[in-house]
Amino acid sequence: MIMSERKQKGFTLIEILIVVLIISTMMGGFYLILATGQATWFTTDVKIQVQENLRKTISRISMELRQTETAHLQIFDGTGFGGTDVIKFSVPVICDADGSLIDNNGDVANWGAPLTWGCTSETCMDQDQDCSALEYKYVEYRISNQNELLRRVLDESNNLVAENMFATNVSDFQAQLNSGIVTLNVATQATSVINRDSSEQIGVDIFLRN
Amino acid sequence: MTMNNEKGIALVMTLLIVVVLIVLGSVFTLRTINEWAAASAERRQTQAFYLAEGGAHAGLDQIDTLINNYMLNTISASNPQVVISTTQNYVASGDGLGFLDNYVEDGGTPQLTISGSEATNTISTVSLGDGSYGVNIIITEKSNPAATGFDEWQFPYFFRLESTGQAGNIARKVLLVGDFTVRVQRDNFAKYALFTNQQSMPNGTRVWFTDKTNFAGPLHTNDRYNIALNPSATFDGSVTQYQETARFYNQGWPVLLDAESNGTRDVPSFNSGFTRDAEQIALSSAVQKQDMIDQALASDTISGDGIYVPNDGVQLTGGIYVEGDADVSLNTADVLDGGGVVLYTNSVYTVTQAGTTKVITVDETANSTIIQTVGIGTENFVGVPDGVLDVGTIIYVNGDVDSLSGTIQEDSELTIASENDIVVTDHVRYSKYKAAVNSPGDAGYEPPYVATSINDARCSPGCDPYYGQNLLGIVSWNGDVRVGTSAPDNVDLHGTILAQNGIFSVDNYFDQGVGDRGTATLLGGVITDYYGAFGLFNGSTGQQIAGYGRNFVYDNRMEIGNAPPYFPSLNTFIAFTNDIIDKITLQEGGF
Repeated sequence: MIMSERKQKGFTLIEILIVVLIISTMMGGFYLILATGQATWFTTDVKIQVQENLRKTISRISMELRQTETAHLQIFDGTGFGGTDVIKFSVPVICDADGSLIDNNGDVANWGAPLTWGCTSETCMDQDQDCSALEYKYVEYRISNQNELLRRVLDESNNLVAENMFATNVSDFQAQLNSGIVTLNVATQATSVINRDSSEQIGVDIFLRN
Repeated sequence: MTMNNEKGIALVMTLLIVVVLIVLGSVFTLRTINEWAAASAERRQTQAFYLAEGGAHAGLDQIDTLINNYMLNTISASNPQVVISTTQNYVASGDGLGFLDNYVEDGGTPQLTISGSEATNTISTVSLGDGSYGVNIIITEKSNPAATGFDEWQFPYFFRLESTGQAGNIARKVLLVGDFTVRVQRDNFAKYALFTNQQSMPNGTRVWFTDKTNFAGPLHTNDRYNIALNPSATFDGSVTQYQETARFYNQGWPVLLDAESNGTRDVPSFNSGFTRDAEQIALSSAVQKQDMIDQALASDTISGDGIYVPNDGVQLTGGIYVEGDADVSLNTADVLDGGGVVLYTNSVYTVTQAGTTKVITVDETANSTIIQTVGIGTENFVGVPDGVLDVGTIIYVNGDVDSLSGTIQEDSELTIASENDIVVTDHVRYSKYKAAVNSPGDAGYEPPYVATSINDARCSPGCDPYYGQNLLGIVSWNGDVRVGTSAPDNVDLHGTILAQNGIFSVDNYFDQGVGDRGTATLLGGVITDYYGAFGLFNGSTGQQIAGYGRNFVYDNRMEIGNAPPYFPSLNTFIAFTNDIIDKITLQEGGF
């Protein structure tokens, strides 16, 4: 009796179809929300990466570059990977325990290159700390064939001493010198897993202080 | 059962999706927060760097104050005899730091702390914008002090500015190093924009300073100033007068007052003070005139009129000396390399005395001089005609200079002195200067100038066309300095004029037949006995009807101790430095 009563209360085909329709509409809605959220996430994630790389490139280079002077800066136009520029320069260095940046004429005593970025003591500015034949002579910034920003330290004969990678996804790097001001134009670009391109570019003027 | 299962799936699905969305959302928020933190750290880093750099420049300014203000004031207020003996002691013992300790004082309080081989001064934390900076100034001796001339000494130092900029919790450091030289010497008349013995025309007519009178440099009179109208004149440099009271126009009923203004009737602006009852300053003496002759003539003897360039057959030993009246023309000549590119320029002085003309080409770079006597021949010498003490080029004419004109080469310091009158017959200009924009009184008027350094704020960057190290002194010992009738309209005269027994004036300034000759622009200073007349003006309209309008522009290079060679000096001493910012080296971090 009870069973038969329950059977009588069962759903009709129409009811079930309606339920299926409602559920699939809801599922479709949820999927859309999820997919949009995921796409935004991937895009923003790449955008953040691209911005961070741009920031690193500009801040790292400008901190070193502004310590050079026109006579100790060379810009090789379009000789880097994919038509990018290469910049090579020296900054005032302390190369012995005496620790003087200038000589008795008030001129910069030694132009060289810190082995590591941001180093300011003689221990990382000259290998043997004797100021003769500087082992670390030039800083070079260039873009590798992997679109990485490389900071390279070269000796007096332009042999590579050290190489560090500071940023990735650098798609363009152009430098121009105009009466003591270096204008850097940098672009970074990356593609997310869902094949969306993100790119950022910036132009900054760096005043050479020395 | 089926019904129960369906309800369960919907709930689980919803929860699942909510969880996934929460996770995604929170990761997203976290990344945003991180990025925001990174960006603000970056902003603070940048702020901190510029604060540190600003602090380093405040440190440069502080060194300038220590020397060019505190030390200068202490030394110029000291007894000259005491300055000589103490300075000589410090030079003899090679004690540059002791010299700083002794003289860098503000109201008797030493401004530097000496410890070991360092003298330090600290700018404690100064707030600026969103952050702050603090600077340590460390001064060390560069080499031993030395005497560089008669009553002239130099003290060379290194400086080191350790500046820390702080923005939020981020600090960045900038190190600036460089050197400077403190010079101690007698004060020089060339520093004055205007110096008069009598503040009147030679005929007794008073000279009133009104709103049309503006001076950028120091003024002194051994008389009293006459001041009219509200607003009245503006004085940017220090103003001193011997008398206790100044004369105020007082709407036509002049009064003598020991005050800087006369109520609201006559109100001048003194931007660097107005000192009355100042010491009377004697104009230069016969001793200084004889010294100038000795520098020019060296040990040569005079045999009648002529042009003498003393030498020992190989080397020039003195300056240029002319017996009799002469014409002097100043020129420049380019020195070219093989390819026709200008390497540098030489000074060319053309001196004519009676029928003789000598063209004297001075090559400062090669330290050689070519003397061409027109119609006779050419002689070559080692050295330049810069007097016995090698201070700078000196031309002394024992007579009148009937004609003076030309251009002064960019590195040449030159003094032209004459026993009697000097007549300017054409423009006399520095080779590099910034011409005036518009005329005085017009809107947008900018006075002419020569940049005081390659970093002069008025032209930086790009001071090169306006920056020269040349100086011209025009000295008439017993005559006047006059602008002649053949001088062009709107004549330019660049140089510092001294006519201690005469005036600086215009010939036939009253000639209404010639009429308005425009404006005579002097870039330099005037030191004379009386004030000279320049033009004739319609009394009621103020319109110029003959002669020149007067536009005296101070050459700011004179403010910082520069003076033309052998220019007469005062009794008191000054100490100054003018090369703090010529070479500075920056390093980030570094201490």
